Amino acid sequence: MVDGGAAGLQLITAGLPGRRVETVERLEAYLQAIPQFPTVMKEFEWRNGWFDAISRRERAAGRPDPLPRHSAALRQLGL
Amino acid sequence: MLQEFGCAGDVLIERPGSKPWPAAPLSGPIYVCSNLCVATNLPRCTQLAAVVDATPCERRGDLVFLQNAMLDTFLAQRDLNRATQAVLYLRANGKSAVDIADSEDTALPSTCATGQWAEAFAARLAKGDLSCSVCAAPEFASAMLEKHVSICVHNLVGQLHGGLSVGEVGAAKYETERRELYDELLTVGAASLNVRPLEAGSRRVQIHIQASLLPCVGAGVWLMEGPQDYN
Repeated sequence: MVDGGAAGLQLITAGLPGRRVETVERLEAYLQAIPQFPTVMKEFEWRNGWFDAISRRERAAGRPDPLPRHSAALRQLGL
Repeated sequence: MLQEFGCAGDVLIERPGSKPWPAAPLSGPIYVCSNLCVATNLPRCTQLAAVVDATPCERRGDLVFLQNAMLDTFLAQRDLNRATQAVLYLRANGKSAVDIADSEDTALPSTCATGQWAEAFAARLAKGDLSCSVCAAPEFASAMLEKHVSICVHNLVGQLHGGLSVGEVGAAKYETERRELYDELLTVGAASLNVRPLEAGSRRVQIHIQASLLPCVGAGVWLMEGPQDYN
């Protein structure tokens, strides 16, 4: 795992829009394949907490939160 | 379920640490799983530290992690960066499991594994007619990120709207919300892991090769935690 500084994030993710579209379509297909599964927020440290740790690290370093939508959603849920 | 696909010499340990470590086998994969269907019953991640601690130091490199979670930091802290891991795309079918994707559908994701025991795991699944491709660590990280994003986004959207099922999260009215979160988490997650998102169908090609070429399965030790639920 590399240090996810703001400059590094931009550098590494450049030039990937094509693959991104394919991945998102697969995520959407998977969603439809398991419709009966419930949604629940648990094991936070291991799930959404992995992303939240990135947000916290960036904010602590004085950089913008790279996951503003995710962070806002967590706040809405009181997490 | 994985036990059903095993072979002579497999050892079941239901509560790691509660009994002395078995004298045999001395080598081979140690699957960290539960005693029911792997599609719906995986050990909680909070139990993983205890599972590792209960495993003799010289055998910890043989652990096979089947969890739906980003374990990179956990594994790195225990010098297990090269441990075998798998991303499962199975669903319950009675007491057994079937692939999420059928053989003709390349749009759906499929099970993959990486690490020294990835082929042994794939061979075990193949006995149950379940697909599993073996991939290199970077490709696996992409696959794990993809599943991690799906779990995080679907659970988040579902809870933001009062506790929906995954199918309800898939409604058209939440599509913009889903896709914005997919994009955000995939972008930052890929950068953090220094990986690229998987290309469509890239794993399915390998699966058909696996099914015909894999050797028989070696004995493994099973670390079995109590029944757990998927989410």
